[in-house]
Amino acid sequence: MRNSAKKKERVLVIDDEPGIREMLSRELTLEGYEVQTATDGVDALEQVRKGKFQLAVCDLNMPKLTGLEVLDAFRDSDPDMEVIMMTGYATVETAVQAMKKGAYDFVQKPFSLDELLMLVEKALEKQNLKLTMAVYEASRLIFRSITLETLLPLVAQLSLKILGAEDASIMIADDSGRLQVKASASQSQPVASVPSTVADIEIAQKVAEWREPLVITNPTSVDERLKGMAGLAAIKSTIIHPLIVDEKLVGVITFNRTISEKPFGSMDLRVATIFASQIAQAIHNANLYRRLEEKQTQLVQSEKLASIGMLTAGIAHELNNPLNGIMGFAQLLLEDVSLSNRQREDIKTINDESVRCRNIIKNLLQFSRNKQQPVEAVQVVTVLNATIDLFRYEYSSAGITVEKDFAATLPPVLGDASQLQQVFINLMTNAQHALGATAKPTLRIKAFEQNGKLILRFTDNGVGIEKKALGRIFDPFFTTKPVGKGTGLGLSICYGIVSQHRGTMRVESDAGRGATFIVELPKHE
Amino acid sequence: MNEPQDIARKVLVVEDEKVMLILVTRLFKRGEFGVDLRTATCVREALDVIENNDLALLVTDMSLPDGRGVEIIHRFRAKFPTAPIIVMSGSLTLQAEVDAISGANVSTCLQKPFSVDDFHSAVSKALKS
Repeated sequence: MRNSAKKKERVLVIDDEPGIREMLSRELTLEGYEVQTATDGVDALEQVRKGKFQLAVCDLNMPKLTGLEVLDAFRDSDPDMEVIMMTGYATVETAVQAMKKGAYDFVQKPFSLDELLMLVEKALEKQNLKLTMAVYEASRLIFRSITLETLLPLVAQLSLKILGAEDASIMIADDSGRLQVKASASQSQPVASVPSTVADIEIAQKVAEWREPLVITNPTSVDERLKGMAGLAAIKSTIIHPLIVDEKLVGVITFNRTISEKPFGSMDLRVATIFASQIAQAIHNANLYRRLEEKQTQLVQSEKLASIGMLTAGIAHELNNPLNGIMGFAQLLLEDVSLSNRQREDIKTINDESVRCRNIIKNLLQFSRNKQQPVEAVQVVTVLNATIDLFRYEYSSAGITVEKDFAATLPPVLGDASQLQQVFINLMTNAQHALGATAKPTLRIKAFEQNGKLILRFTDNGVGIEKKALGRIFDPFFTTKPVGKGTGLGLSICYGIVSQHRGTMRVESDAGRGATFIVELPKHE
Repeated sequence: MNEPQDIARKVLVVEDEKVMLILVTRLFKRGEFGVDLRTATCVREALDVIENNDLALLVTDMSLPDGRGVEIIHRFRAKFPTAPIIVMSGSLTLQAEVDAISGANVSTCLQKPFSVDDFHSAVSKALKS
């Protein structure tokens, strides 16, 4: 006997003879299948429209619609369903015709029960194999995408096909466990813009919490725990499945049927479970890949900094001696009383310019210097406030509003307060430049703790950064400022300082729509 | 107005860059310190001067073609336990470098490029002590 708890395939028995219907219904139920019966073709089509069946056992000769006509109609409404034909007066022609129309096989009345049961089992095996193949095909596709940006829309699209859903959305859990819709797809809407209601997300949030899938087919008789939740009434049939990998929840996927009257069944849930595990793994892979890429970028960036730093130090160092000569002799000349005023002015210019060179070289050397490991516990909020105070006058005269979005105290980080202040000063200076031509110029500084890290976000609504500049923004000597206005070292020095604090620094920006610099520093335990 | 019993104090300047050596020589003249200036352009020459003279002050560069100024400083200190030492260098970590020479008791670090005034006050202070 089959394990009825494990498999609940739905079988539809169609025959105008009550005796056959009842016998098959009883026997197939005993075998563990979920059986429905129909007395004629019209009745059968109605049932197939309302619910998903894996298999139909259909009489050939019936009133209203013939078996062949029913078979045709099935091909339109549910091409995946297998059909076994029963015939009382089998002619070879009708049998061949039925097979041509896609029937799985046929039995001749009177048939032995064993013969039919064996056929049913075989047909369902084929059905299962087809589903498995579809999931496997889909998995192959999703494992080919390695970034979440391409993976998630693909998953949403494939979900429609694999589960016969009318819309599907994938929500990903952020660091604090809140779900956010990252991709969705819909049969009716060509663009993936299915609006997810707050209620949808709330139910998904419950699923995330319980870590078990939820099937809702009748909103009025849902799980006790969901009672009274807004938005339930709008649901027709939904599978909400958690995406779990290595016992960690990465997100939730929902499959919806909103229009068709076919509710999801236990087979659908099985497919959803297999598919969900594949999706979770693919998302996990994409996350790993992203982290790998980030690390690699950081590595390349720090190597770039190191090699350019060495070169710079070498050159700067070599310049110190000749510059000392220029400065020293210019200063000696200035002491000569016989100089005309004009000569004195000229020599003074030589001296002043050499002092300027000295400062540039000092900056270059500072950049390349191997700083010592930072050691003290630094209250970042204090440093932030001090830096904001430093800019108070400059910002208010430029009409820039600073929005402070951080608590009065945050956990300290291990580091060097003056170096961190240098980073903040740099970011505030850059923001000021970016905000030069903006209406209602605003710099919003947000700081918060997350996963053992202190996250600082400096968001301005200024000119933003062009895409081609984004990738080079932390490169030494890269500057968008006019020649002579910036050394192009500011941000790379910041990057170096943040790295030395075992933190990371990155930027997000759309040209014309402001920029956000994000500094992440490990919390000092 | 040299004191009659006083023969001029001897000062060693070590610098491999010709222009820098000329500049330092000029700065000594300008300051009218009344010292007897000895110059060297490498470690070997410097050690030779230390060996054969009674010195009152050492002014040395840190990086030299045949070695580091540290070697000169150590030899100088060994022979003249109290005489002042002025170190010149273009390196930003000069102070740290000098700090690393424990016990050498370097009086002043002059970061290159230094101004005429910086040099003058460093030498004045050193010769007074």
